[in-house]
Amino acid sequence: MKKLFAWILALLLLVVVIGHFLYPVLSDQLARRRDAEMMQEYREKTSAMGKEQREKLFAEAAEWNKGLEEIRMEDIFTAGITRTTRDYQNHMNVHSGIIAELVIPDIGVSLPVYHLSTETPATYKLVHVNTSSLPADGSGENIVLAGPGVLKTEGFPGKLGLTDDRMLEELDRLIPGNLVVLNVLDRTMVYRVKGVQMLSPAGLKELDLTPDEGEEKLTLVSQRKDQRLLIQAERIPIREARTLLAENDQATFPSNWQNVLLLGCPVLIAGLLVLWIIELIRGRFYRLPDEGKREDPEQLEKALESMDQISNEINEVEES
Amino acid sequence: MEIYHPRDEELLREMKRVRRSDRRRRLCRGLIILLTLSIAVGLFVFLRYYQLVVAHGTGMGDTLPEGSLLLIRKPEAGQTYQAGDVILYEKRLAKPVELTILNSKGKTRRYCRYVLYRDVGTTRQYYATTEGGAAWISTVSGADIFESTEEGTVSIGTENLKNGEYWLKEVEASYGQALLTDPIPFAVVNPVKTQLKRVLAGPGERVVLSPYAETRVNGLLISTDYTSGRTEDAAPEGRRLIMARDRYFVQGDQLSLSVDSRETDYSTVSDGEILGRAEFALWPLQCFGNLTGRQTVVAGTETEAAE
Repeated sequence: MKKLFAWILALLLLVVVIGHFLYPVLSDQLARRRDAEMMQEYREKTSAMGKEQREKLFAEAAEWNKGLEEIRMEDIFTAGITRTTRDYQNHMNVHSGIIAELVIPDIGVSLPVYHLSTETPATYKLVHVNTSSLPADGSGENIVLAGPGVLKTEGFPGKLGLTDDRMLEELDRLIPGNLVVLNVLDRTMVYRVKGVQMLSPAGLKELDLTPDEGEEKLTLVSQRKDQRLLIQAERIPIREARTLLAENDQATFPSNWQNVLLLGCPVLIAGLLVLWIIELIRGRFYRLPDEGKREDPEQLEKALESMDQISNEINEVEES
Repeated sequence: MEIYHPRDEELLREMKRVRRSDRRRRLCRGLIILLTLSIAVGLFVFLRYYQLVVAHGTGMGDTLPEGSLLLIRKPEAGQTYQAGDVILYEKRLAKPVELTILNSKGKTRRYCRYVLYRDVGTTRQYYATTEGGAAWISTVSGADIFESTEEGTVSIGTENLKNGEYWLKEVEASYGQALLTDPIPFAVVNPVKTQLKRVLAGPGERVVLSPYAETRVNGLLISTDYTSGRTEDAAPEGRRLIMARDRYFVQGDQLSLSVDSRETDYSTVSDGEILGRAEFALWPLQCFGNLTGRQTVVAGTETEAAE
């Protein structure tokens, strides 16, 4: 019984240790898969819409943008939803409140952008800030997106953090010149990072994000402890973006040792597991009835006594 | 005299146990060696037919995000690829070489005629285009002629030239100019890129490209269920193509950002350039799964699509 308990304890400990290391990767991958599935559904719905309907959505969004006098934002991470028009949720809403897809190739980010709502707050999802322009593919707009970016050291449990809390934690790595891609319906808008700055929530509130005439901007805001990371980007022509992004569009071969590592390790682990199972089965079926059992000390003592007795008898016989 | 020993049976049993455990240990050792050998042989055979590849960039959109790890099946003799297959190929991006030729006084040599040659060991070979394609011949008489423009520029297409050093030799000077005796050296350095794109059309199939609409294959519109962006951003030159016997029309899944067969400079991919077909995505989890058998055109009749 004690042995069984020890085994269970050891197994639990092993699971906890492995889980500790695998959790960030697995949870991140599962969240990405969930997002990818959402985006696939979004793409299918967009594809089924037809060109006229898509154009209509862009026109409606442009009309909604005209109603914005100036673009300022509250600290939506603490203040929540501040101001919204009645029909905000109806614009660009193709599937489950998704407005667009944000892709940042330099940091491997690919996330759906949701309308800001009580179900999808900025502390949980990457959202479009409802006091900024909707992506209407027109001039004079500043699209503000906000998302959680709690650093690994801040989250729960311990140093790992929940996946959705860590959504934009890599945003710190962006530098001026990096490209940010926004896929809206069937259109692609590419922005170049102009500036990265850290602000206090009060500073964020005071910031005037209203674009100048003819400007097309994208602003990303993310949470960093008690500060806010602000990234501003300007739109670039698609031809220029194609040329810049085509540079990285290629495939590479892993080196020999990487190949061996990638292919050999799983096979080796599987093989050892099979071996262990074989050994376990063999041990169970080929074991002798009293093999592995501890010898009874009383019986051992009796046997020793009888041996002494026999040796005495032998001695006596030899003497006689 | 025979002495009865009470531990004889125990001793025998112990001996059996030791022998058995020793046999088991030997068996284990043998199995480990066998397993290691089979892993090595397995890996060798596997790498003979398959290879791993890491995809980079935005050209394939969400289908293959940055850092995707893929399993590629190496090509076999006479292998063909279907529409929807993601293929790995080595593309040499052939850009024309433009040379402005000046004489010793620094004046441009306009309307002069040149032949292109290369030296292979001690043999001089001249470039010529024949019915069967490009060829290298030993005489100047059948060689291709390149003529300089009014600005003295000679443009040389490099589709059939391997990366390396070449020379231009003036064979005819324009009126009033002396023949340039010194050959003009130049180098062809075209970047070679290994890329992954989706096959849209294979040999014998028809492709219609338009700068204002999505690509059509055999009269049918391509499906945009798995793509992002639009072909309008790529603004391809409007044209009709009928795929040659060994050529494939490839396109990335990010229609706005992918540079592919829609570009005139990029051209289609030949059989010889293909390094394999992507069969399975291993990593990340979001794209884990089979990569073959994707429907690339919208279901419907050709007439409907044409309408």
